[in-house]
Amino acid sequence: MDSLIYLAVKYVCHYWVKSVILVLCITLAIFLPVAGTAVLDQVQLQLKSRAESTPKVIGAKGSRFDLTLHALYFDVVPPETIRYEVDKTVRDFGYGRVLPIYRTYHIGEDKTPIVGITLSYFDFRNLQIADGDFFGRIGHCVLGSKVAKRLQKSVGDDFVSQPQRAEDITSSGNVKFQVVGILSPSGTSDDDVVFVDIKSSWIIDGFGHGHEDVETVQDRDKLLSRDDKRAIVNESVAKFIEITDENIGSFHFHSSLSKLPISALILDPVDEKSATFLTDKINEIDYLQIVEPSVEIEKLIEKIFRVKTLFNIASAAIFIVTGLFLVLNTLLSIRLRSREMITMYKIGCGRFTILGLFVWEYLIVILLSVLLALLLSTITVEYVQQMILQMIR
Amino acid sequence: MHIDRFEISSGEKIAIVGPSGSGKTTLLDLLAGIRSPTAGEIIFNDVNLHELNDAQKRKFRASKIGLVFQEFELVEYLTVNDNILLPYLINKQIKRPPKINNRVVELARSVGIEDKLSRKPLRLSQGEKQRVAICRSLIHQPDLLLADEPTGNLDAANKQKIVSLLIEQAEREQSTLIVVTHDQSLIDRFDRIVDISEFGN
Repeated sequence: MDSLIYLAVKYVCHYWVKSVILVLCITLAIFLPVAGTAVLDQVQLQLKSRAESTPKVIGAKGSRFDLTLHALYFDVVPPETIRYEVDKTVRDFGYGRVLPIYRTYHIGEDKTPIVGITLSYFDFRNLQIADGDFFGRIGHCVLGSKVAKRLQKSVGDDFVSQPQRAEDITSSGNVKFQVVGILSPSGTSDDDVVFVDIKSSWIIDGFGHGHEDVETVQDRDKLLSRDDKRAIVNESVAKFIEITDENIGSFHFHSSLSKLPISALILDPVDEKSATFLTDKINEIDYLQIVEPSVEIEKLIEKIFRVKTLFNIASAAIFIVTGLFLVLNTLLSIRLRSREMITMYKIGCGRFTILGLFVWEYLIVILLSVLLALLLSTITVEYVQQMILQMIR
Repeated sequence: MHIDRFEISSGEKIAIVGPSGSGKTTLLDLLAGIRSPTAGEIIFNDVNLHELNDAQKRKFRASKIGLVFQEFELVEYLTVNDNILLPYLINKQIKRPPKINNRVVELARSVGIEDKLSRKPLRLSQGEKQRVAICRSLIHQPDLLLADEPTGNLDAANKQKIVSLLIEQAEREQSTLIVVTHDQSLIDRFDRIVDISEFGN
């Protein structure tokens, strides 16, 4: 047996070009269905688990799917926002926990989203702090684990938010944030987000700001008028781009918070009954919609399954073609090696031993192919899975 | 082919001659147990080959017979060393002696290819290939060495050398040697010349 393996290894190594071609063909035939199935299963699992952990989402009327993806992954910005007052309205219904989300500007070249939330969001998603703490005030931020790694930021570092669109000139956009916490990896889209307090997100968007105390302004170029009640200053009054313990008191909003925008509300109902009541109530409000992410994602998964079926057919075709190629190769090999086999037989080798030699040669090639296919699949699954999730979003 | 009686003594060196198609190779196949006679029997050291089954015949060939072919029939993907060892690599029936590697070197040295043991057949001359084939046929110390036109693919100088080597090695290993040849210039080196056409077809 050992000698046959030795001979088979020698054959495979000597005709290495042929062996490499065979290995690549078999690898492809194994890799495509294995990696494809693993990737799609992982994508499906990820989509489902995220959707199932998000019971209900309320947002402006429009695409239900966009609203779902926005609430789950923060990537898609819904075309319409809703007012923060909806948060209070829904909270007053008393059907469960209400979590506002406001996706605003981004940081970095890869445009990592900055998402405004309340502290309850961390508790709702069971997100743990790996380093530092959760944000305690406006101007602080907490980074998802992947963001921290990618941007090489740690607790104590700072960054400046960037406008979403070049033409977005009405908002302040560039606000300096201090990193106060890094989240532990969760394996979800929360790892890829910069979390700030929802008020911070409004400040980035220009709904609030801080500037030097107008009461103390004496410069005539800055002061337009002053009476007993108020002082009116022009744009040249210094605006703060960084929120510090010293200047935090000067930050304010020029409108009621209830009128400020949020992009979605996640609702965690107390029970099924509350969910049903809430759905009815929200459906009565003409500018709102309520979606169940698991239902929306199920529709998407159905589409993925259709793609998977096509993929399986293509994989089966490749498998059959590879099989035929192997049969052809075997037939040609037997023909080309007939003299070698006859010689072996003449010097005392049994027919089954000759067959065994062929089997070992193929086993070695197949073993190498399987190992290579598994290695490639492992590498590919993580990469392609992320790519598909990005594409879906 | 019809042979009434053909006896070979141990250690004899015989040249078989005859025209093409007269059955020289068939005779070697019969002696090696590769083919079976349609009638009659072949007795080798009191063993009747006709009574052996296929596995026993293979064991008989693997242990008692050494074969040298006109086209050398070396395995391309193996080194000279492994080609010489081939009978042990493919035959489970014969036990590999403990110092087999020494024997490989010794045989290679005796035919002048000891410096080529790590080469593949593709990098050998025709004469060197046949020397490797001779070593392979002798590695298991066969009682009977059968060579089918061993000089058919060699030039004149190599023909003489290879026949000399075959005779020398057969004597050294105390093997009986039967060589099929067309070449009249080589036959006077043998103890006996058998013209197969005289057996009658």
